[in-house]
Amino acid sequence: MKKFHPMALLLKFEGYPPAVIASVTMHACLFLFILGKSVNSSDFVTVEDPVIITASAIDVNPQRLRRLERLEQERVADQQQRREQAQREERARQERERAESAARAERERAQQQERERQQALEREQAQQRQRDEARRQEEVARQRAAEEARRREQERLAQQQAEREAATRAAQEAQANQIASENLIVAEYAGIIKRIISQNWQIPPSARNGMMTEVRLQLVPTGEVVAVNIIQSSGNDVFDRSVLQAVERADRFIELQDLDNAVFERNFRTFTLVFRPEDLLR
Amino acid sequence: MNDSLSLWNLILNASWLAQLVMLSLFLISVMSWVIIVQKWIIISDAEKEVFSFEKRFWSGMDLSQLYRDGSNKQKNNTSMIGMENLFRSGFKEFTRLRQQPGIESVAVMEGAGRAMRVALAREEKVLERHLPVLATVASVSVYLGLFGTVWGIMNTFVSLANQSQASLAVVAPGIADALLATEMGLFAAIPAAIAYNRYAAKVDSIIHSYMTFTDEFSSILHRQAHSRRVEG
Repeated sequence: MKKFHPMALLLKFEGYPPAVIASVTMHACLFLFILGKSVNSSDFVTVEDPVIITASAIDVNPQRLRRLERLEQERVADQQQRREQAQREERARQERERAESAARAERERAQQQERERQQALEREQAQQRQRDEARRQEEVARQRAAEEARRREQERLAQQQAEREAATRAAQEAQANQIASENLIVAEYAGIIKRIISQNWQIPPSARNGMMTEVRLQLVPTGEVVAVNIIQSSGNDVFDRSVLQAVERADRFIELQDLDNAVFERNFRTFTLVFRPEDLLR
Repeated sequence: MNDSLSLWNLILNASWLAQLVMLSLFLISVMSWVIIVQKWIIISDAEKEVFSFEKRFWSGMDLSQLYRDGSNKQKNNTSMIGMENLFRSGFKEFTRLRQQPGIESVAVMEGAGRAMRVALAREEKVLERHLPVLATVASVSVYLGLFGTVWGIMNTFVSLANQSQASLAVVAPGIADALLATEMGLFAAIPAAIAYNRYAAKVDSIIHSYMTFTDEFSSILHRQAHSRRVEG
């Protein structure tokens, strides 16, 4: 009955030892894998560091020696250069002086010429001035004459203007007189017309003081009434109608035939009348 | 070490908190794998035992013979698990009660049933031990990894703020570090989740077969007790 059980070994201590061994082994393998695995840079997109150049003075011996040597050479070259420079400058100075003296002579000559030219110019200018003077005087004389002429002309014009104004004033006065007379005539005839109408007007009992009717008559030169309209009503129909009846009854105003045609056209072609009961009752 | 991006360097260059997180995740992973392997041994053994014991039990063997075989095994220092334990505790209680005079068969059955229930509870406990740990690892290690990642990314951005010249080369190592934490969290969580689900289902089925066996064995004992009573 005793039989070897393959699980017997595993099952000792509830199977913990093999479990621990398995787990730890597995993780150790994993750990070694991670440790061993170096990720190739080609596996990743290589990202270049931004190029930052820091300039710093580093005191390294060979460099410094080289620099000193270079400085020495530079110094010698510099001296040489400076000597050459001095010679060059000396030459340049002499040159300059020569040039200056030449220039001075030239300048003097030029000044001489200038002076002569100036004198000639002055002479010419004097002559010019004389000519100018003569011309100016002539001009002044001419201007004076012209002025005289203009003044006379102006006087003449002023006189004419005065005459014209006087004439217009007279005309205006005449016109004013005419207008005044026309107004008088108009007032007279208006009075006649009003009187005629009033004679034909029978005031209704309902008429009260303060009532007012405005009518527009349209007349023809023979004095007949062509049309009559109420422009502004009194508010009382009976009163308005009585006014219209009065106009109709008057029928024609023979007196208007005597009137000047122009005056009639201006004033009586359409003619406005105001009727108030007071006008009659008073 | 001319490769600046080896995984090992990433781990070494990470911030201390990220390193702590990674270390704890590593330990958690080791622990969860210990449990996974141990549970696997225990559960597969129990499954095999269910199969082999049921075969022996239903082979028509005398029950007292079966009990004696078990006793021999115990003497050989072989561990006693599962269904055989149920059988032994039930049978032992049954015979013990039977030998005492004046006990009714109902009481005998009750005693045997109680003994088997106790044994069942013990077996259940053995099978289910540490399974909650796996569930916890499965859910928590992801969060722990995420924590390390967020911390790492935060640090990266903080250092980015101090840079006048932000380039990918500045950001990339930090984020790679950070992502490593999540990776380790997932590495610990995925096997734990799979193992938990698998083992929970297996344990359920084993316990179900235990309970079935308990009922069947009870009915056998019941029959025996009453027949003896009728005989006697």
